[in-house]
Amino acid sequence: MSRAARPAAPALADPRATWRVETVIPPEGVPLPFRIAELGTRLFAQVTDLVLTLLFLGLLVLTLGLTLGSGEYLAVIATLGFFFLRLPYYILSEIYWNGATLGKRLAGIKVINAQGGSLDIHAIVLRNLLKEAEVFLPLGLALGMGDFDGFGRLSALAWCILVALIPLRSRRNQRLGDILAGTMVVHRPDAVLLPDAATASTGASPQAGGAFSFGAGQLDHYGAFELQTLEDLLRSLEAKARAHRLGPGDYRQMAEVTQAICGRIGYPAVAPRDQLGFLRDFYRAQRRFLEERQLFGERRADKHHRRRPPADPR
Amino acid sequence: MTSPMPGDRSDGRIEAALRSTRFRRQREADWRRLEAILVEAERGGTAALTYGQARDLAGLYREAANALSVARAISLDRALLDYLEALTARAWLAVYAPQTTPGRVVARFFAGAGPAAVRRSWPALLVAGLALILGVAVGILLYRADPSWFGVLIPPDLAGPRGPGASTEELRGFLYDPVTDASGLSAFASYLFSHNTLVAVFAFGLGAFAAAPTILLLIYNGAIVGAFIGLHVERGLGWDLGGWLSIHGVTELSAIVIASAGGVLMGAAVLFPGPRARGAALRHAGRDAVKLAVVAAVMLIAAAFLEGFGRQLITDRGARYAIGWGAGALWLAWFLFAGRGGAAR
Repeated sequence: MSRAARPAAPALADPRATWRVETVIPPEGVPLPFRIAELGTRLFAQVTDLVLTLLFLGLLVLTLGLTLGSGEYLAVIATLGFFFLRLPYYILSEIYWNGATLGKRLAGIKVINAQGGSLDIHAIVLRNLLKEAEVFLPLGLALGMGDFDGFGRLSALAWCILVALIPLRSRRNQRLGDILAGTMVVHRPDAVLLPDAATASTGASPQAGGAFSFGAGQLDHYGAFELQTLEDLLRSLEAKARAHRLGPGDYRQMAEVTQAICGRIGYPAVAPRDQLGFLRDFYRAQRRFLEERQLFGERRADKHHRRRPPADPR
Repeated sequence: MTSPMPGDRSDGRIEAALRSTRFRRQREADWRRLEAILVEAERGGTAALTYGQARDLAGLYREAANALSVARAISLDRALLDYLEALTARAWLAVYAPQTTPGRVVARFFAGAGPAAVRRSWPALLVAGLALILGVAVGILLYRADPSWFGVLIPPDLAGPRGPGASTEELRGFLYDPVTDASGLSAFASYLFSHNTLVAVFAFGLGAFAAAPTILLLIYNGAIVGAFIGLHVERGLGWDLGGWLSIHGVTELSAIVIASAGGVLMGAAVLFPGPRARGAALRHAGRDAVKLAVVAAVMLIAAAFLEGFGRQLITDRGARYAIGWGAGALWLAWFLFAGRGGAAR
């Protein structure tokens, strides 16, 4: 069915195809998938945090400069602040907001314990200490802080590049500090319960459903992937039907999907005005069929009747 | 908690509803309640929850985890699976959040965990301290043998105009004259500060490479100090240099030794992992090494203030000794006595 629906199916394009998902097993033993934060998102959070700390440091130096009246020790204070303001900020804010600095909160990401336990203080301190050693210090040296000669700077730059390559190569986008502290950075999970496509009622729809029935032979063709693709399609169609915004494109898509299903399972053609009801009934029947098979231990991942281990959520 | 919702449409035709649909209807109210508690917990931390909410959070979290497990077995409703995954993940994050506040973490570190880690690491501290002393001895002996070693050991921009070529009066002036040029002072202070901070950071960070770089760095930095001592003792300024170094050096060199001890701990874990795998041993040693690094960072801040403000303002030799070693005694008292009674971990 997805093959036939492809030309008119931008609504079905699944953004999840590009996500990197890692599974964490909490003490309760139920595997939880988390979406790994992309490096760009993490860079955004990092830059936001840097700007925030630099702003704070600038304000501090300015206030001190105004009260002390002279710039005598400002350079010292600025250097001190540069070293010793940033680190406590990262550590304390990650403790306070459970693994998210202000920048990470803005970016919608957070640090979690990759082993499934709680994010302990030691891990937070370690990953942030190592951030100093692997990013900020060599970067400062390469940019000419501390009187290093050309060779020293070059090696600092080489170290920066090497360290930047680690998260690019790592499966979970972990940098060195993450690997040693056993943490990873993920997107904050967001829970939205969409209506059940098997019960969603469409007051506006002329078809009440329940008019079509299918035999076991007709339900034996598709698997979970096709079912859930149909679920997405149905949900978007039902939402549009409720808002009375079903356009000609939607009817064309409906017709294509209906034809594809009828052709495959050997069902007589369905009149255009009954197609939404047909899809809904087919979805219900197919889901009941597959769920019952699943209860008896037969998982069917897709129409090729591939199996997938039950532990894998997707 | 699992009774059907009032007004459930399926009452009349319960047989017709899918099993997974019934499953969802029966539990949805609890999930919504968990969601509401989570919103509060995410906003203000679990401390902001009432007693009843906190109690329900734990129970509802386990219920949601259980429901997710069942749903994966019986349901093909992707909306439900996605929702339960995200809900359980959020609840997991809230239930297993660090159950402490930043203030309490800081207090616990200074009142117990930090000094306890220093006490536990005395063998590493001994090794690092001996390496530094060895370096000082080497520096003095080398300078005695041939003063031109001074230029070899000490980078010219750290020494400035001080050196075997300078007259005794110039050297004395360096130790006592208040620096009139403010920018010169700041630059110098921040330079020396960042030099020693860099030494501490590298001595700590490179410790994982079998501790060899840490030991070499310590010996080298000891040799720098030793060459300075050799020069000044030769000119009869030994006690004066002692005062100049003491006021911040006691704190700063101790900080370098402590940071290096962290490096030695990690190097020892790599060299002698014992029954653990090397990575696991390194991670285990890291728990104390990180605490040593934080202690060293605190001491370096204190040393920078002593250096930036104290050294040029206080020119009396006795006062310099008193402040320097007084501060050292305070650190020692902190390490020896803090957090002895309670849970020091």
